[in-house]
Formats: sequence, C-alpha cells, structure tokens
Amino acid sequence: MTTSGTKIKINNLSLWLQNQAIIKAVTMAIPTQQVTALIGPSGCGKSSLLRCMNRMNELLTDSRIEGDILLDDKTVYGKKIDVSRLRCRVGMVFQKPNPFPKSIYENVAFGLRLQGEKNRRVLDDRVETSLKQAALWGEVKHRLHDSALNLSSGQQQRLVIARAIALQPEVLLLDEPASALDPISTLKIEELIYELKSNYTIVIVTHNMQQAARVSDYTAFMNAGELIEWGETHTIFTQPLHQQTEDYITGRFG
Amino acid sequence: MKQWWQHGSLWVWFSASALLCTLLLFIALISLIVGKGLQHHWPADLITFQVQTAEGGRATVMGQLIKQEPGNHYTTDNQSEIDPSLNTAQQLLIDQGDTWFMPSQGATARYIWLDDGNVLQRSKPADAIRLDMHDGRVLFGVLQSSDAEPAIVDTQQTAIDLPGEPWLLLHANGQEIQVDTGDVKRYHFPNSLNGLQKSLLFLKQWWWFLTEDPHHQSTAGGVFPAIFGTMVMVLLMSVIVTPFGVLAAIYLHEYAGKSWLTQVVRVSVYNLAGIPSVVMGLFGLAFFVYVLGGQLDQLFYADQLPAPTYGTPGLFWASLTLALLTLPVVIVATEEGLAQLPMSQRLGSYALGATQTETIWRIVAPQAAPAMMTGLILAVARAAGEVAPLMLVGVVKSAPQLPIDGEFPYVHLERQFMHLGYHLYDVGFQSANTEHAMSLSFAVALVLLMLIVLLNLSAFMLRQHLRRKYKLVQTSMEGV
Repeated sequence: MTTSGTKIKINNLSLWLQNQAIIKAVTMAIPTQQVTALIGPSGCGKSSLLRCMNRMNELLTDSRIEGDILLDDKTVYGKKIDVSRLRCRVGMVFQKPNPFPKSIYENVAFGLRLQGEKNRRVLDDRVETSLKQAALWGEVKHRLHDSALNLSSGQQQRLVIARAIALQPEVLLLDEPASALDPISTLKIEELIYELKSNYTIVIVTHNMQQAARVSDYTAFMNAGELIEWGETHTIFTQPLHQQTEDYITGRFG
Repeated sequence: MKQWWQHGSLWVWFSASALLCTLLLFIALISLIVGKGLQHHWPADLITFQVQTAEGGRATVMGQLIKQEPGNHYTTDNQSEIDPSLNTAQQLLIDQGDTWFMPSQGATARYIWLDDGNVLQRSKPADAIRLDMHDGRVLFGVLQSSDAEPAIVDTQQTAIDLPGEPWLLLHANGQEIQVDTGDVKRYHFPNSLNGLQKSLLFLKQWWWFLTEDPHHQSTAGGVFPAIFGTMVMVLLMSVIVTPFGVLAAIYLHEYAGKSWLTQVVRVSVYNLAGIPSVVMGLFGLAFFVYVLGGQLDQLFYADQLPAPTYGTPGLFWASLTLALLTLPVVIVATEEGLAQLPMSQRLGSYALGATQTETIWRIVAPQAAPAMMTGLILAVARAAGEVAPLMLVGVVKSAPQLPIDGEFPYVHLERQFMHLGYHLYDVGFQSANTEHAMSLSFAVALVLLMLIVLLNLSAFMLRQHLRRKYKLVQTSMEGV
C-alpha cells in the first residue's frame, strides 16, 4: 500500500445545515487513488461530509460552512469556483440508483452532452469505455437504446457509476452505494470499486463494517459530527486508538 | 349495535351510496343527451291521424309523433282549468311540419297536441313525403303530381336538380301546395324506408348537420361554423395557456425559493381559479378588447379607423380571456408534477455538473410533461364548455365568415365567431319554437359533448405517449 499523495485535504471543516451543527471541525486527508471509507452511526455527518467535497449540500437546504476543502491544493469553496466544473472532477453516486428515464446510452452520455460534446464517435467510445469500466458492458451492449429503468437495481447502480465515470472525474464519491442492493449486486459493486481505484480516488460512505474492511485502504470513523480517528483500514480495524471506535467496529454501539 | 357502529360499515354504505347516486345521475345525464340528441335526426315515420273534433266533425293530421304522455291537460274552452275527465287520456305531440305560410285554415302551429281518445284511426301512407326546403321550411304531405316518381326511387337524394313542372303537395289539412322543385333541398319518403335505409339516412342527416351552415335563425341547417369556431378557439387557447402556465409554474416551483412571498403568490394563483368566468369576460372586454385592441388598431390599422379591427370582440380576445381563465389550472397541475419528481433525479443531474437551468430543461421539465398535459386536459375541458365570458368577448349568434378561410391572410383572429355552447343557448332559449328547439338543443349538446370528448381524448393520448416516454421514476430520497 503506497501513498502517492493527498488528493483532497479537509481543513478544520464545520458545517451547519439550517443552523444545526452537522460537522464539527473535521481535518483529514483523502489519499490519491486509494479507497477511503467513512464509517459511523447514522446521523454522524459522514454523508454530509461527503457532499461537502462536491458542494452538494448547498442544493438541499441553507447551509453554512467554515474551514476549507482543498482539491489538489486548491480550495473548492472559493467565490470564483465553477461548481459545475468541480462536480465534473468530483463525481458522485447516491445510495439509491437514480438513472434518468432515458436510454442506457443517453444516461451515460448525459454529462458529455452537457459539456457540448456532439461528435457521435467520441460519445460512442466514451459510453463503451465507461460501461466497460463499470462492468456493465457485457450485459447491456445489445440494448443500449433500451430504457435504463428496465435494468435491475444492481445494474442501475453500475449504470449510475458508469454515468459518473464517463466524465473522467478524478474523485468518485460513493454514498452507501450498495445499501439498497442484494448481496450479489453488492459484491459486484465492491469488485468494481476495487477495479476503479487504479484510476480514481474513491471516498465511500458505508454502514457495513465488513464492506469498509474489504474495500477500503483508509477508514475514518465519525461520531456526532466529529472525526474520532482516521488512518489505514488495517490499523483502524485491529488497533483503534479510541474506545468508541472499537465499540462501534465490534458492534457494541451504533 | 354499538359494535356495528364502531365497525364502520355504516360509513361504507354511506360512501357507497353517495358514489352510486353520482353514477346514476351521470348515466342519466349521458343517456338523456345521447338519446334525445340522436333522436333529432332519426327519420321518423309520418303518421296520419283521423281525429274527431270537438264539434263532432272529422279532421286529418299527418306528422311525426314526437312524444306521448299521460295527460294533465286543460279543457279546450278554458286554458287555465284542468279537466279531470281528461286526466287519464294519453296525449300525443305531433309535428305536422310548417304551416305558417298557408292561407289560414285550422291549426297553424307546427306542433300540436292530440287526445289519444279522439284519434279514430292511424295509418302510415307509403307515399307520404317529407320535403326539406332551401328556405328552411319542412313540409309533410302526399305528392299529387310530379315528374319525379313518387315511388321509393332515390329516396335519399341530396340536392335535387329537377327541371320541369312544380310539384303539387297535398297537405293533411286538405290544402294543395305548389312546390317549385328548385326550392326543394332534400326529400324522402320515410314510411317506405326499411331499417337499413333509415339508418343510412340517419347517418347522412348527421353528416349534413355537422358540415352545413345554420340558417333561419339557427333553427335549420347544420352547426359547422360553431364546431369550427369552438375548435379553433380551444386550440388557440391551448397554444397560449400552455407555455405561460408551464413557465409560471417552473418559476414558482424551481426558481422562486420558499419564502412567504412565493406562498402568497401561489395561494393567489390558486384562488384565481375561483373567479367567476363572467367576471373574466368583463375583464377581457374592458382590457383586452378596448385597451389592447384599441391600441393595436391605432398602431397598425389606423387607416381603417374609426371602424375597429382588433378593438372589437373577436376570436383572439376570446381565446386570450379563456387562457387567463384556465391559467391557474395549468399552473397548479404543472406544479404538482414538478413536486412529484424525486429529488434524487435533480441531484443526479447536478452531480454530473449540470447547472440549474440544464437540470430543469433536461431532467425536470420532460418528466413533468405528463402533468402539464393533465393541466391542459383540464383547461380544455373547462374552456370548451365556457359560454358566459365568450358572450362578452367575441361569440355571436351567427357569424358570416369563418375565422380561417381562403382570403388573405387566411387566419382572421379579429373576426367574431360561433361557438357550440352559445349556439346551444341560442337555439334552446332564443327560438320561438319550443318543441323543435328542445330537440335541436339536445343534438347540439351532443355535438358539444362529443367535441369535448374528442379534444380531451387527443390530449389524453398525447399524455399517455409522454408517460411511456418518461416513465416516472418512483425513487424517494431517503438518507439525504
């Protein structure tokens, strides 16, 4: 396991949603081309922290933020930041698959079309590579123009991942990507994460301890908006520094 | 008993009977209009009645039997005194055709009541003929002499171009009428038609009714200009109201945010739907016609002043008024559609770098399209049946020209037009001939209903198509 640098640096970040403190002074780093898992009990702020990284929180309710997040050492919260550009660089996949009611092809091509890409060959190529990377190509290559809504939910989730990586992002944020799926689909997603980390920096929020242990290189444990500890997954799971962490991992609370 | 009360089966019965009552009323309404409406064009038999008159003599009446009902009828001498001895007798209502032009003798009313008890004999002469004249008269009788075969030859001929001798028609009251063949529009021998021929004639008569112009104070002829006017007005209204309503709803739901002000605006818009339509008509007349129309005239049609072009009630102002009337419906329906769209769809689009505008036009609006169509369906249903405001802003009893014709610039939005709803009111209540008007009203009502069904059906099909295209994603946004 090598650390080739830090992709995202979170500096003393605090977040309020509707004047309620959700995240309290979190500082941590997301290493490049590694999988970082955010774990913690429900409502601990891990999903909110994830959404801070591509500024999705500001879409939902009135939010206020203190501190900073640096992507490649540049702030993502500056006034001149193009949020659309940021979200292209930092892709996101949600808990429940949310394909658009369009064809499989158009779902994957959606982001590229937004960027004004009209060249059919470029689109075809990118759709194919993305679906291949998302391990879905073999299942859908003969029905690219069928509605995406006819896919199973496991396939839909991989389609959504393909849709995100079609934009060739640098970071992928996965918000409990497998929690709404059956065990077999979950396994496929986990295999996919393992494949993808050679190209992308991945941050995954999960409730599933085994999943965190299986797929991640780094793990951060949060509780009540605070970052309790973070480090290499192996260390966190075998020799946690804090009693809370150990209790949570072993299932004694949370 | 108490248990039964608590169990709530009473409420099941209550609610079920409420539904049943509604259904029954609905069925009654539809069957009345369909039944009476269809009856208007059915080629009824011509029956000859031999009647005993009060004086002891005999009279002959020939005509179509309109209805038969138990009498609660007045003595012949005193119209306000009910004669109890007649109460049990059946009363027959007979349409004996137009008689007003004849030298006065006997009854001159087209519709007369007969006491069934006085009828001595009924017969259906095979050679009885019905003539529909170009001037709107309807004549029943038996042909005495004519070049045309009084047999069943060509009984459903449309336009007769028969040269030669005038026909001599013997009316049941004994008078002979000379009929110039050029004046005859159509004729047939109802008693000699078999079922199939009657059905064919029935369909033809409907076709004429739907495609011809009305004449004689709308008591005769067809309703084509009214159908056309209604269609054009509703379509024009849809074209105006849909973009306005949809854009307003999108602004209200997507851009405006959630403040007390948007809430006030929303409630006001919803309440706009409650404004009586006739008030809207008054507004349309005062503002659209006089202010806007007057300005348009001064700007573009100054050479024709003081004769107004747009500064007078017309099709465009009527459509605009109805668009205003139905705007809340479209806004409410569209907003509901927007609200139903799960947040996850929007977030998914934002997460791919879409801006708010891109998200709205590529993801939100297409999926809300079926809801917009629902709004349009409701708007069309309301607009097609609206009469009161139209009387102020452009509908007339009889319009000489259609709003769309071959004359440059082909579409004449400033013209006054005819409307089925108003036509129904006109023939039903403004005409002197009650019985005829009644039956004609039902035929017009049937056409109006059919038109609304047709308009709604097409909007409905369009909505189904959109629904299939953008199958709504029913995912909720748990965990966000």
